[in-house]
Amino acid sequence: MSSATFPARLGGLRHRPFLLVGLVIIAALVLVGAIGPFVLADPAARVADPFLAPSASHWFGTDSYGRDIFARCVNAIWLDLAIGVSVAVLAMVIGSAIGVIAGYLGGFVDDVIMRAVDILMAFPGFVLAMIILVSMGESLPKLAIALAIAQVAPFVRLVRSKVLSERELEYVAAARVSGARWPRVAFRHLLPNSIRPAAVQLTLVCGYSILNVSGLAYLGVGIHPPTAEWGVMVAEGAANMLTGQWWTAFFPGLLIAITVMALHFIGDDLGGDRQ
Amino acid sequence: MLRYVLRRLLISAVTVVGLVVVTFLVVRVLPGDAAAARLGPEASQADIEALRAQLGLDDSLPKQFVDYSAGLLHGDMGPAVSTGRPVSDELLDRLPATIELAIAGLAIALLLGFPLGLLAAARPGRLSDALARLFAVLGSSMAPIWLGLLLIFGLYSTWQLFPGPVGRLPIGTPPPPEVTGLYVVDSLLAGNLTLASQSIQFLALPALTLGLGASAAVLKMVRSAVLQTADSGFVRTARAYGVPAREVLLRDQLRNAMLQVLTAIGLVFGFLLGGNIIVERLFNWPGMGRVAYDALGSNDLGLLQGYALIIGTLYILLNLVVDLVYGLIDPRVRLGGSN
Repeated sequence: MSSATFPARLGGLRHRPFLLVGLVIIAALVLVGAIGPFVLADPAARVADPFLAPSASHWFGTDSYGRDIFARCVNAIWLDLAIGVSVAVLAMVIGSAIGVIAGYLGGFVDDVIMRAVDILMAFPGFVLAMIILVSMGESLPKLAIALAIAQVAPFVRLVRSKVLSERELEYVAAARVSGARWPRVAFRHLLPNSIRPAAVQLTLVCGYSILNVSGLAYLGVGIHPPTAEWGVMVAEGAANMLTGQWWTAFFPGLLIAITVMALHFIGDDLGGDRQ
Repeated sequence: MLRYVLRRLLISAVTVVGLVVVTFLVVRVLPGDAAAARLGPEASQADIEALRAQLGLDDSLPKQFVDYSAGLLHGDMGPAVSTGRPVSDELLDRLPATIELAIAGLAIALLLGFPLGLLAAARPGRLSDALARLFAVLGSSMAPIWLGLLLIFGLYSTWQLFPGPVGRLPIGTPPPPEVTGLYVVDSLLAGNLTLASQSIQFLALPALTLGLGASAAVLKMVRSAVLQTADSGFVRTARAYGVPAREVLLRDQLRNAMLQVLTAIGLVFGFLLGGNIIVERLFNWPGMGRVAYDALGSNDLGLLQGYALIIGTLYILLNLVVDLVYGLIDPRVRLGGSN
């Protein structure tokens, strides 16, 4: 695929419907998220009576304060995508670096690192992120860091196992005999050739993180009201579900599901899981 | 076999020790003050100092760690600051409720995920496969809280098929005499069929919320494990002898895929044990996750630390059991493991 020209790749998309659907959904979200805030109501403004059902003037209805849910959902798009992407990239950078070192150096260093990874994997990611966040104190960057630490382990494993097979190849030996020190061999030569499995994981982690943010918000940790964020909105609307105002939690949750689904489609396809 | 068992035991023990160190470090070393967090922003400096002294937070880190580990060896995790009771009591009292929910969730995940995974693997690339995989993606894309809310809205608020989210039994109903702590089992043991059916009804929605998400993971793992056997010699041989594809799938491929599926089940059960904090809050289910949620609200870091430690230990034990069973039924594993 890497040798195909750009138009040929686009043509290939027709035979990869899941990838196409995923990319179109994400592109549409990014676009709406970019334009929406300039066109729609202020997400914090009380524009109408509380608890209006969805209608032509308020597509997703209004919440308990009379805020327009559609405007709030659209305003949250970039925030949620930004959290997902930053957590995934952070986890990938840290995890891949550790994975390359473990795989290339091997021996004692590898043993210690892999034991540490086992310990990290013994926590459900969600619980780990929650504990770290509560201990550190809350803020948006700390939320991203806590979620990223909870997702580092799979990146370490993926990159390490690729490095283990990759390091036996001739180009690595060539780099070494030409006098390169180990950090150069590991990061300049091995890392670029071992990163592909991690890139697939990247899209999945992006989705998990958006889900985890919503779970944390429901527990009152991480992002708090009145921020317009999907998870916060679902959490705020949870009580309304029992009293009949289903739309306050339904639409933000639906956007989470659609976004995460699109990321899954992209990730599954890139992972070679096509048919 | 003995060497394999010893090796697995040793690795698990090392991991548990690491778990203790990590939970300790996260809670005591990360910037942030357990005493200040507990007392809130309006506490006076003197009160914070007093609580710090009471919790032993002024001692040196190594001393704190030794004290903490020594307590753990006696099953003592210290007192929960928010309630005054021992952390271990707070959590272990609620363990049966959490386990009952996790088992029910696992049952649903297997009942849905297993047949669908087989169906997908029977004809890879066909419509049945695509639909099963679409189900898997949908199941893993929904936030658990949202899925739970939809189920409550549809099956309780609208159609009244199941009871509302008020816990394990109707409010005011006394629980069955405790034997296992699992209400469904205990009511059956007591011969109380009404109570058993009530317990099942109250269990249904939270278990469905957990199980639907987990069924997606089971489906994916069953599908890929069975497909991996499709290229192997025994499948080709059986097909060449004229054994029908369905029979090969169910008799040979499935049996050989069972090992990987077993690992998958271990993973899913661990996920259900730890992933229940949201579901327990949503359905007012009085399990360990609910304790952890209350600890979050009262900033009781010690209680949270205990929760993480118990969940992590359960998870490691579970994987140990899976590995041992794995070694028991597959000689390749235990022989490979003894190198």
